[in-house]
Amino acid sequence: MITRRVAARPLLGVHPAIILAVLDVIGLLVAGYLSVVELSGGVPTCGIISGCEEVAKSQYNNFLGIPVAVFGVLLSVVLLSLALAWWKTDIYGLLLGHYALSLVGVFFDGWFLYVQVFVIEAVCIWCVTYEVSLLLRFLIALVVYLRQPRPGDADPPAAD
Amino acid sequence: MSRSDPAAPATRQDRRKLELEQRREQRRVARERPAPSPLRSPMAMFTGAALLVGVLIVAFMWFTRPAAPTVNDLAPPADEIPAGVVIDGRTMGSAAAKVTVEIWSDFQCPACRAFATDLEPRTITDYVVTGKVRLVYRDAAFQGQKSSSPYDESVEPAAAARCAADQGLFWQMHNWLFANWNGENEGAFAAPRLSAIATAAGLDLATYDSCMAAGDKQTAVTNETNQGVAAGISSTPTLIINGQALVGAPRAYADWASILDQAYAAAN
Repeated sequence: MITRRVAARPLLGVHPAIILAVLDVIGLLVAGYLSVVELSGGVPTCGIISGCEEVAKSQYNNFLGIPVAVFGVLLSVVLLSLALAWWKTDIYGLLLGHYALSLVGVFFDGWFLYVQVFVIEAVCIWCVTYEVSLLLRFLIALVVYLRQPRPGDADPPAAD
Repeated sequence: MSRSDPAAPATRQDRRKLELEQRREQRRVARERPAPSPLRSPMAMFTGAALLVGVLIVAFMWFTRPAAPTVNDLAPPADEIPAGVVIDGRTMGSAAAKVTVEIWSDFQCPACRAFATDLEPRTITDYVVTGKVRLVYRDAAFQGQKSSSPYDESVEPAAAARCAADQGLFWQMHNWLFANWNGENEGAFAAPRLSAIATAAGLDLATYDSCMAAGDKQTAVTNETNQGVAAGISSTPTLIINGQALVGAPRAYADWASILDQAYAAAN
């Protein structure tokens, strides 16, 4: 069922995969910047908003010894691939994959936002930007799914 | 259905009636067919799998989160204060040095720690011991102010370092504090651990305890922090090199040495 093709209903006049892909690229750029800076031993620039340095240097900023931003890059690359593949093929399962992976990311980002606010007591604006983009990706994928015809909807009723 | 079938409808009207009955029956059967369970839909399965993975990741993060450091896990500083270097309270180096570097710092600040552990030891060897540079430590104890901790984790270690200065051991305490930094506002500088650090740095604990209990060092830290803020110190570390402010420390020692060399050349 998930490998069947279902034409997507446009969202804001375009294929919803394009909106998801744009948000994936935004997330990829943010996570990419954070990864490059942190892997080179620096701290991200926050401009007039402080907090990035504290979050970047925090022990919570690592998962299995790797900066969490690197996982953000990987997630965005996979999500972008799913969005583009869905756009090209209209295969229903690719939308579901985008939805489920972004939900996993939303879970992790919820935890990381909690840590920033209540444990580190500093908020990194880059991280929040990524978290907002991921939440939007999840919500859009959910809304698109709910508006989308199901693969079986067009089938005639089965005869006994 | 053949014409010879005795049960076949004889007229077109009968056939039409039979077709309508068959369609009604098909619709009834379709209505009565049990609906597929929503829990077995692809959406539900993807959601369930995503929730499970998300919960597992967050649970892993929660159970492997850094624990508050205790008195039993102190790490000694990597570098020792060189013998023979002139120390006067929170100042290190000859009073005749051509270059004075005021280090506005917070014992909780990660960048201050990086400066103290990465650049300061070579600065002391290359510039302070040789009489070119004098270091003066200043408190800019900001970061504990936003802590929900029952004590200020920036002011308390700064006060502890001042108590160490009373015993002539400020820079030793400074090195031990930065060596045992463990993140911001995470309990690294709770009172029992500060006492353990003070003991490890060589302080007389009874004198240290009474110094910390008096409270005037904490007041002095807060006052100096406020003076710094009034003078424009808003970020740590801020390095004042012969009156010229440098916000943030260079990452590479070569860059920092170049700045000191220029200041030294300009002062001669």
